[in-house]
Amino acid sequence: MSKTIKRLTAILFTAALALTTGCGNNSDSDVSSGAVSGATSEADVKSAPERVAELASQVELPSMAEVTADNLHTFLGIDSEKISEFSAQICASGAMPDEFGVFVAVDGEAAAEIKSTLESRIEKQRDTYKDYTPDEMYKFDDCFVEQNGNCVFYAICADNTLAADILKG
Amino acid sequence: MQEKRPKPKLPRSVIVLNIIMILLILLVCGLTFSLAFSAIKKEEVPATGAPTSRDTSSELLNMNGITQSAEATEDKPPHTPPVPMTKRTTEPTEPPPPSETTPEPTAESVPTESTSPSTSYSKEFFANDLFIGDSISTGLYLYGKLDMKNVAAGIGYTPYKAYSETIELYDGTSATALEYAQRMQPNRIFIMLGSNGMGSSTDIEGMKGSYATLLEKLADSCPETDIYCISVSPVTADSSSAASAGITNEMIRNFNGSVKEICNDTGAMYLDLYGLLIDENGCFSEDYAEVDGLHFLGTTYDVMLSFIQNEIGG
Repeated sequence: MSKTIKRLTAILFTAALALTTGCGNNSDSDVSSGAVSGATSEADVKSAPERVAELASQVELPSMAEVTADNLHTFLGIDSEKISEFSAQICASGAMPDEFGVFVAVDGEAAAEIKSTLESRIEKQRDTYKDYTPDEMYKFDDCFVEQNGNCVFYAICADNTLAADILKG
Repeated sequence: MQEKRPKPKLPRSVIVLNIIMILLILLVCGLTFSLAFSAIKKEEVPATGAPTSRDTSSELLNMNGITQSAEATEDKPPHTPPVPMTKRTTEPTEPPPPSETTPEPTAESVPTESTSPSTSYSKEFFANDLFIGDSISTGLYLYGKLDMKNVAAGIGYTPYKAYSETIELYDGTSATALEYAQRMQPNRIFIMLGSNGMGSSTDIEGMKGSYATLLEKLADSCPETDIYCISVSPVTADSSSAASAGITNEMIRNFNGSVKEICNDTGAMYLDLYGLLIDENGCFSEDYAEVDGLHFLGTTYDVMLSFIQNEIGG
């Protein structure tokens, strides 16, 4: 009887050890996948379209239109040859001042130029809308243009604080 | 003979403790596994169910690559099927009262194929035409419905400003809409003005005068051009923009009546867009209205351009 109990105990110990080792492995793999995904997100900064799409999904907006390479200069005054990647949206109905975008410039000089262009753009829009839709002017209160290396991003929308968090990537 | 010594026995309590510990370890492992599985299952649900808003946005972006037209970023489709509308050739006088017995149109009850206004038009049909208008008309090119060279429009533009205030044009230059029309000499000019400057009866009277002046100036500057006046579009029952500007549908109908008279006097042609865009209560249909209840959704331009093309025999 005691032999049986000992054997049973040994088997159960082995099984328990195997299982606990398995759990440990599992938890290790969880940690490592978290670390991997963390490393991935650190290494792969979100693209301009990804950031703009994220903003579009999280902030209340009117009907928006995507700015294309063809109309980038016409709508925003930015030369497409000065950027390697961009994504931007503007209010399509003309009803509201909402617009935002991310522009990756070819170099620092181009980035500074884009920042300056967008600052002028914001002032122009502020002038345009101040008499037209006074109720919408709060969107200009904390609107922004920011430059981070060669990347420039800006927003005029209902939640500019959230927009800045998202667009900086 | 040497006596056989009994083998030492483990105390029963130790064995029981061991078994309890093992069972506990097994229990913890089991719980860990079940938690892990349930987490995986939760992650799988959105992938097979409705897309998240993030997914929708990605889809939008994919549809609107940098080289694609802005048309693809069109507004979201109406939440409800379009209400049946009949094209009117005359100004609506009184909006029909809402009928309590008439059931709300539903997807089942509205035969959309036969009652929805046409949205098909040819961009080529308008290739040599010019739309002169306000912020509503800027949507024609912002949505990518027409090329910007076919639109001379500015936010807050009025009939008076159309011949006195410059706007930015497609080529980066600035000119009044009248100057641009003179330069362009289009086949047809469509005037879509009047939504701005309708805040009071005094304003309306003044705007009627400047509307007539604009028509005269355009006729002088573009003698070979056919001129069309598009009625001011309606506002929704709860339009925030209309409330802010003090505009009502009654004012709009009154002004449209005057535009029609000016057309009769000058030989210009009148197009009743107002009648096309109203719902059963005589207000701007929510299916066509931007969130402010005054501006247009993308599909509204399709309806408008299709209507114009059909009206003038395109």
